Amino acid sequence: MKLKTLSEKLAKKEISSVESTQGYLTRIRKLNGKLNAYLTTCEKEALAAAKTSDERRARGKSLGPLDGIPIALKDIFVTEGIQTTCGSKILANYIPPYDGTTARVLKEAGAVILGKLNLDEFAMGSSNEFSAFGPVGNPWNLEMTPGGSSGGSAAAVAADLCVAALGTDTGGSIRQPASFCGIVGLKPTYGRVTRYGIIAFASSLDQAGPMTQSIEDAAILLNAIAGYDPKDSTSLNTEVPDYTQYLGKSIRGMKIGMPKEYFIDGIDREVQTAVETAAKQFEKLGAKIQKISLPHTCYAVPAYYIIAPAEASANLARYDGVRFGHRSPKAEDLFALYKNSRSEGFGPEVTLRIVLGTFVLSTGYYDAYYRKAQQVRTLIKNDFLKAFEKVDAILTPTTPTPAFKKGEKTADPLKMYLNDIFTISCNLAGLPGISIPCGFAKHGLPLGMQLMAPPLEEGRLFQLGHAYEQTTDWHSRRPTL
Amino acid sequence: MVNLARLHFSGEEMERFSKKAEHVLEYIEQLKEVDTSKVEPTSHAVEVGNALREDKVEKFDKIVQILKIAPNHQDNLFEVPKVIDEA
Repeated sequence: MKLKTLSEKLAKKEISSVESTQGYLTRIRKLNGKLNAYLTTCEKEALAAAKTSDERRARGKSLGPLDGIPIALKDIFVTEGIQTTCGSKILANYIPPYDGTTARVLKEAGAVILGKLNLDEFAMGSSNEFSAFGPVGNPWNLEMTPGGSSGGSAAAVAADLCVAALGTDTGGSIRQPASFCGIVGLKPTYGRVTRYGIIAFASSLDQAGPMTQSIEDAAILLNAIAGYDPKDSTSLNTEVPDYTQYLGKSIRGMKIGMPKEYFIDGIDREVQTAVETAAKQFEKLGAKIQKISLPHTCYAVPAYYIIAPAEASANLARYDGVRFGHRSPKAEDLFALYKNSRSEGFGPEVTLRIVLGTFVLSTGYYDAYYRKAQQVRTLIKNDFLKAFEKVDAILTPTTPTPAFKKGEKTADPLKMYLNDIFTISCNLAGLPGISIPCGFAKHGLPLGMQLMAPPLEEGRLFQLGHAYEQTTDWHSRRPTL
Repeated sequence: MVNLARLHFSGEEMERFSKKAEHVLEYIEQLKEVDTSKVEPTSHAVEVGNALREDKVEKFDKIVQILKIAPNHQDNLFEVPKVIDEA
């Protein structure tokens, strides 16, 4: 059920939060074995929060649209007293002593947290196959991956195991799984949502965002989580508009650019056709489509695979077995303690990226790799700024293919990295980007398109997305499980 | 590099790992093609000015919870293998 729908039913007392929460918990018990979307369910805490919500509502003191709504969080959001693993053995026993800001804000809005969702270890991956706790199934076809790294989040929303979920996106980790699972996924402008309480992967790229069954639901969630947080010095101190006011506004006259570098040989025919059809739909609704160019697009993936691992190597240095997390029993001296705890605790993709990152930051290589990549990043960002002088938003496919089979891309890191070819530039440039369902492939797998806008213009994404959504029904289809 | 990152691989793991790492490094070499001679690096996509706050002490009351999840501790100190020689 959509967030908006449940919110209305709760307000009209057609259902109670406890009933709704119990319904989701039952469904999770029934289906999570097949999907492995949830790593932890918080039955006790969820039902307690639901009961409190119902009591508040009975006294006429409802907290707003999120009060009593059962949601779930990617297991990268730190939640006090609730195990938070980040998909890694090194944090398998980690019980945070604090709530991150996002978890706290959602609880204060009355949301019911059903549990923590599976992910690629430390958010490094595009298929959820790099989780230390097993892969996640795509609800549309269990042999396929749901995408990653927010694979558990995407699968849970698509399969109605929660009303909505929060994910994080560093190179596409909200948008790509949203596309593979047929749901809406938004990565906000860098700094729009706090990173305090998100286990850090790449600090200049990470962003939290909503994963939902509709554009409206994403706007409602963004309203709740966006805003300045003094605990995150990269969080933007700018006003948060009411994003729901953009829903239903006409898109007549809006200019949408389609960059030629995103419509190349090698992308799946059905993906291309679906996005081109969506472009025609936007034209029918009064928008103007134009061809644009983002010339440095081909350098985005290599630049990202220098910058992100570099930042990750720094952020993951804290996992040393000293204060929390896995400590190796084999530690004859301090150096061995670090080496063994880390090697025992981290999976192969994480160690690969840590070492790559260490290398590109090391003396003698820093200028040739890291500094060079940051310069290329400027060129990529400038491509977008130039394009936005002519258009209001940019339309691309979200991914080059629909969901792929488990095991298909795990042997070759590059094959896996190229899944993010259309999403990565958005993180490098700090722009908001949204993935919206735009069709189904012949084998029944969902297809997604991506819209990007200038910094802080999430409103345009909601306006365009909602207009499109109202004239299609892709987002209403649900997988049979 | 593996040592610098405080990691450790077995012989066979190291081989597999080196192949993967080389493969990725070859791929990122293509950035050399780009002329960046007059380009400033970007470390923060969306610029934020000095984000300062008052240097005020706030009470922190979760010490018990932190020690509860510590691998090894004595009172309020985390215990690790000996670092300083007794020579």
